[in-house]
Amino acid sequence: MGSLLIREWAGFQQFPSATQNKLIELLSKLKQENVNTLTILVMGKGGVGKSSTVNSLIGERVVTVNSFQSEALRPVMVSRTKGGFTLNIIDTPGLVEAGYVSYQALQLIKGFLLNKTIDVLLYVDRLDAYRVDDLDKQIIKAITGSFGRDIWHRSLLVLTHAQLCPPDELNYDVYSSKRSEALLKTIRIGARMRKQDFQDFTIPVVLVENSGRCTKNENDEKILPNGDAWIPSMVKAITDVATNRSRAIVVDKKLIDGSGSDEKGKLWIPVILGLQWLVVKWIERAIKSDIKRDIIKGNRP
Amino acid sequence: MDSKASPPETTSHLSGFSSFSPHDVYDIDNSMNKNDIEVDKNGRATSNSGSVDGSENGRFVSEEKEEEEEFKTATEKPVVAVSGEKANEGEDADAPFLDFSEFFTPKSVLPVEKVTVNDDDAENHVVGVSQVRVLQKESFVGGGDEGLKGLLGEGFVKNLEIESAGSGENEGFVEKGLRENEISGEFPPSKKQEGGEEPKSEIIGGEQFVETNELGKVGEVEAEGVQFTGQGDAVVDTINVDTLGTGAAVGDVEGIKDIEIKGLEVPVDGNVCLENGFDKVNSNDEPVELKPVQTETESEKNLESLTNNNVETREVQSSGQDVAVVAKDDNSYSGNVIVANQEKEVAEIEAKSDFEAKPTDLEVERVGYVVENVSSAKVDAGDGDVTQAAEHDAESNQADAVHEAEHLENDRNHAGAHGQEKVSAISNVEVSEEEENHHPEEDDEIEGSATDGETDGMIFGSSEAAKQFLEELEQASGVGSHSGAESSRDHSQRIDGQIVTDSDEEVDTDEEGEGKELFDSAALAALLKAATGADSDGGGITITSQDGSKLFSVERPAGLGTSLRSLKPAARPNRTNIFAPSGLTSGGETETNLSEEEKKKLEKLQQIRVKFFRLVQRLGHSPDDSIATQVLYRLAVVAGRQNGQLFSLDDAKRTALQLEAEGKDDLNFSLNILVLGKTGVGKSATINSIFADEKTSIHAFEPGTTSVKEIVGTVDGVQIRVIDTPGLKSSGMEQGTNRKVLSSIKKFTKKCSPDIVLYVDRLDSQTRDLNDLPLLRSISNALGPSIWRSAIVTLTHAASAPPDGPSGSPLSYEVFVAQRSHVVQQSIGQAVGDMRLMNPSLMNPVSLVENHSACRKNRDGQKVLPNGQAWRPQLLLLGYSMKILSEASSLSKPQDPLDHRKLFGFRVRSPPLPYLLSWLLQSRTHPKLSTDQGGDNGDSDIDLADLSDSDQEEDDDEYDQLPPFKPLRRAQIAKLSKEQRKAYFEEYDYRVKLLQKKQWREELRRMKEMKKKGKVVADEFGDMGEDVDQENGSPAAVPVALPDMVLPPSFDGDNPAYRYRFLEPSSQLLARPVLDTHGWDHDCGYDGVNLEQSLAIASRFPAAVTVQVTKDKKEFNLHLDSSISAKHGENGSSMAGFDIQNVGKQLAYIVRGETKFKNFKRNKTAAGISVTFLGENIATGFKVEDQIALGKRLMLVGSTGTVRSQSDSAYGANLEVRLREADFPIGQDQSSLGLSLVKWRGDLALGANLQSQFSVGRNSKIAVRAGLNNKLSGQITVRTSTSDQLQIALVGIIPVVMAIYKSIRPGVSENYSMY
Repeated sequence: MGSLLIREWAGFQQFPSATQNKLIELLSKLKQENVNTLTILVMGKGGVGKSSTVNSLIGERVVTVNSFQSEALRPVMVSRTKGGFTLNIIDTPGLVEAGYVSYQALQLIKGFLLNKTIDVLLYVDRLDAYRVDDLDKQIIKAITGSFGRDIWHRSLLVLTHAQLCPPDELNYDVYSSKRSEALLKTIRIGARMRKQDFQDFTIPVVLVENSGRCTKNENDEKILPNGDAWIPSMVKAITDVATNRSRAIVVDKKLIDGSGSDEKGKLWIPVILGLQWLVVKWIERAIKSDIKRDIIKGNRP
Repeated sequence: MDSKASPPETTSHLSGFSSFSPHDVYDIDNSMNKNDIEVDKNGRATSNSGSVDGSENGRFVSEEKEEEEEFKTATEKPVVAVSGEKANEGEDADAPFLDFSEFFTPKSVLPVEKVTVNDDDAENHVVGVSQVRVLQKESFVGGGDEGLKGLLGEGFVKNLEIESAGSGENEGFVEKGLRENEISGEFPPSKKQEGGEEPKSEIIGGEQFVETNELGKVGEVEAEGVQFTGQGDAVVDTINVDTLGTGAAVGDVEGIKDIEIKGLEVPVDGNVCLENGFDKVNSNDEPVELKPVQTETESEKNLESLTNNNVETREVQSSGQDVAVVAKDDNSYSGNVIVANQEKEVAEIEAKSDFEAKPTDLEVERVGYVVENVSSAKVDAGDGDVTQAAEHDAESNQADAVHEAEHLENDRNHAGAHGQEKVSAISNVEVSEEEENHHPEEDDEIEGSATDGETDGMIFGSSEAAKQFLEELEQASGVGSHSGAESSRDHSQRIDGQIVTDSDEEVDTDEEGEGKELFDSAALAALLKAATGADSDGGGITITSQDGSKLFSVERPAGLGTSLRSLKPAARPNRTNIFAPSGLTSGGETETNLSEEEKKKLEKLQQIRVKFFRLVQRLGHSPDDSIATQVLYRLAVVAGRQNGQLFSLDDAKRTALQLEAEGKDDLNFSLNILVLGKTGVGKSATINSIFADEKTSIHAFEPGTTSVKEIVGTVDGVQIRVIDTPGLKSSGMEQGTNRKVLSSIKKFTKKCSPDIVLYVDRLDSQTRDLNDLPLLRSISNALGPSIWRSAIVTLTHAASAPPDGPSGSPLSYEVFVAQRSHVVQQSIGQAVGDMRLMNPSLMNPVSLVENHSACRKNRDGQKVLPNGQAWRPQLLLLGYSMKILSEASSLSKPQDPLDHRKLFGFRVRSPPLPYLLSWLLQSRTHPKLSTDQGGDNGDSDIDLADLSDSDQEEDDDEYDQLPPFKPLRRAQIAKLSKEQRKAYFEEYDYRVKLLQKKQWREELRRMKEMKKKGKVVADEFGDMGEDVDQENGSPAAVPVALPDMVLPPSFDGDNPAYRYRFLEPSSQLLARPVLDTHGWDHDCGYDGVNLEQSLAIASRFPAAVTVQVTKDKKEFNLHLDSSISAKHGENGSSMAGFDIQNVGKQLAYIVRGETKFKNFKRNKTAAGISVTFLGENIATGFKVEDQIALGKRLMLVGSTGTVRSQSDSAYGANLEVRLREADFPIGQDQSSLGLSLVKWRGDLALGANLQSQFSVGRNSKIAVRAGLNNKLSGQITVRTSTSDQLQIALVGIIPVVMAIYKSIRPGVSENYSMY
């Protein structure tokens, strides 16, 4: 798996030169921090634009995207290298199936990530959805359960479909901040983080517009309605997260197997078994003595 | 191992072992035969589990233990153990019809209404591809022209494609329905009553199909013409071009050229405007079919649009599509102009479109047009003006087709005039096909529930089509042909439901109509068209009567057609001349025969129409809008045959205009809308938009609506009451919350029941992975699946930009909408689960909504969608239409209000021929007098002559010479050493075998003697059992009276099985319980009773009657078999039988007769006929069967037969080889290999079936059964029974373990790959 040929980041050249400059700057900053490999995990519900985001980030159409059916049935890792720096992006299947969190998909992802290090998690959702519901919470919970709470220290909230006209005559910034607040709150609740903890590691929010009809500025960079070129700002956010003081998540056997409730109370198993054995013994003895008594009685009519 | 054990094994097993009566042996064969067929059809075995083997063995043992009886008894016992053979048979027979629906439906690919056309009509004779059959019907067409204007316009082709699929042979054909209208604008508009009786033509399509096959024509367009009309002007075309299917060779290049050129040259008479209401018919995913596209042409009124349209058409053509239409005229025109029209044409239309290249262009152009003529008639929401590329294509196709068709027709006219027989009639042809397929349904819907019907019509932008187009776009053009057959097959299956619907229709029609007129509406349509049509290009119409004679024909003068036509009532001169333009007269002659009641109904209907017109008017729509025309059409259908002056369309229109002009606000119309949907999709916003007012609070981030509430408002004078509901949650965990919400909704809806339901979702949310399924299921569960009947899928955020397609470039808006709608519709279908309920053609209509305040607006200040449509009026119109239609349909049958279940219940129009066929092909035992037992009456399986006396002597001797043998007690056996025991059992078995042989022979000998004695023994019959006993001293000879019943597949100790067992019959009447093999454990699995009686009538004619009645909560099944036979001499016997059984929900009465002859020593031939009465259908069948014995062990049985009903026939053949052990009745090993073939409606089902059973060792038997059909589905069953190797049972655990393992470690086998 790992022996795969890592390709040159050809898509880098496809970025507008302004973007390229900014990216080079950011990457060199990473290098200064002695970060030569960056592994980004992309997760989220189905159909929110994970794969599209990966494509945008790489600058190539590496993952097939279909609007109406899920293409990615299993995780896919895309690796690109550029001047000694390696960027790995892992695209994952959607975490929801038929209204429930798909633990099967999660299991697949975990298996795939075995022995890999996750530097950054992109949690993807849509900006133009209005509501946050229980399902989102479930997803967060599932992710937390799988990779530990710490993963949120290495995560970014990516909101796709950012090119929108906010409803209710809301200001774009107000809208997006409201939406991201709602989602962040869900993440906090879903991951059961303490408020303080959560505030210490604020999860950066990145707005993304993957559509081909995204407006562009004079430098040919894709920009958001508020004028930001989003690819550089996303990469910047990623580098920030990658270099923050939290540890990268190393996915090992223990993390995968140890997750969930299986671990809890394992110690008690022998104890309870022993107790059971004692109880059974005791009952047996009681029965035997009872029979004995019966026999004695019966013999003496 | 398998609880679904197959009966045949069981039977033969035991019967071989125990029964010496040939009758029983024969049963085996029977059941095998049955099974063959059954399996082929079903792909699955219906079966009763007989765990009899075990019990038999057990008995064996127990016998021994019981006593040291004489050896004899021990051996006899097995006889009693013959278990459930009869029962098996009974149930066997039973099974097919229980499962019948399943097995039937897939076959019902073809529109059921197909009727064979064997017109012997002089002119029609020809290579008869498609024949048009018209049943004459009389009806009043009221205000001919004005009365039904353009109403009949919408046609949906539903099943056509399927047909093609069904018969693998026709790979490609294009089906095209064209309705063309011939009405000249010159008709005085006020012309009102041309009443009179009109023949109704019934055109029966589909049938040709079969014939086509037979004729070996490939790739024809089947069509038949029904034309009908709009009022003077409307031309409604429905074209269904199956582009993918066009593998067919295009015959005449010249022809193509001609056509094309003409198409280009002649601008369609100026008053043809093509409007494509992309009617979705099957919104299921078959990519293969193009949707029927409905093109409606409006004339006079929309002059402006006309020009546009012309332009458009041209554009289309120039845009690089070449549609080649090859018309092969198989007609021998009789030179008679009258005949000219509707015979069979074979038209091959090959549409090769270079779609890929053009779509965008088209789109652009389209948009352009849109701008130009907003007011033009294209109002279809879905396709609107800016349709997807796909639709464009379709349109263009159509356009071409239409043109061509018209041209062709022109030609034809010319031809007709000149007496040439060339060309043409394509238009006619197609039209009818379409029509017909359609009509029944529409009828039906209207009668039953309006909404359904509407649904059909109103789905915009058919997703299916879209899909197909996508496919096309991706593929090179014209490639698609391969995918044709397969997918269309799928399709066909999906359509079952629809067919079912059709069947309903039939019933309805029949009730109302006289005789067996099935397609009134179609007929009506044709008539109307004939009557009022004044086509621009003229043409002739002939409506052929059923027997091929013309009812009348209309000859149109060639040329551009405003000219009036003259009528030539050919066949029925006594008919009033309906078509004579009666100008302004408004006589009431036709109404005289309307009953008061009908009049009332029509009056009401007229009021509804007026209302509808007013509504349309208020919405600013034109009545020529596609939705509106559909509604009007359906109203017309509701009106039925009685079209009097009362029911004149123009009248209604005028009234409406007048009322509107007066500004009267007396419109008595209200609409209740229930709004459902996920949270945050914009339900409340939509409501606000509908009222154009802030009626309810909305909030972007929190649920704006927290409780069910009612919002009342008035829109254009229509009182609208909306039930706004809190958003539902899609998460599977939160369905509890949803249920609460839904139950409160339900309470609310009880108070005021909603007329329509808006199911709101976002257009731009790319929900997938069936995320909404829990939600949708909750809705269906709480409010009932019928809620979806009146549901409109409302997609909000309709202005959002389409996402990027697979190629990276954004999808076109139409494709986007189509795909998204398809996804939603599909998940609804899935949630409803029942495909009959949610059948493809009944997909919910989709409307688009954009509530955003920044939404683009048109000049009137109405929000418009990216495709330029103003969505609000569209949505309202949809709602109004649904309501209107449901009003109308309730009107049409006040005593029978909208019963959806009835609509979608299983009812068969045409009898399930394959099933009947399999029933027919079963070889049956002729009942025999006891005296004939084993007699050589041509029916027995046992050849007495086979046994030479010397043989017997030998055997007997062998047995008799054996030293005496004393069976041991069990206790004694236990003491034996292993070797001893083995030896003992070997000896024991050997002796048992010999003894059985001996008994068998004795039996045979006895039979022979009896035969020799002739009929003397007649009086023996009464107490036959006794007699036999005396004669043989062996109970083995008792005809196996009471087969034991099958024990339930349960290990349950308190199973009631034993309660009902009695092994010794107390009378001749056998009564047994019937076991439901699929029952649960701990469940009393008996849900029926089985009675059998055999008797002799007049002491000469043996008869047997079996009645089985099963009843459970849902259904009641009756199954009666009775037969009586008579013997002809030594070698022949005939049997007459009468059966009753449930087929679907109806009872089928089958009368059958059969004669068997033993013509050579080893050859038996049987021929039989059967007549089945099923509902109003009669199916006749004929079969021939031959049985050849090759040597003692090999038996070859072949049978073939056909069943025919109406025009439909099914053919089947069975071939079976049986191989038996040499000493068969005693040895039980036998194998059979069967092949069966059934052809029905062009669908060939081939199945192979292998059964084999053999003993392994002393106490084990293995039965293997394998079946495979040509759809590559099959089944293998292996049954083993053993009494000494219990561990074998553990094998049964393997699949269980495997399943568990798989579920525990799902992804084990999967390898992750990086890319």
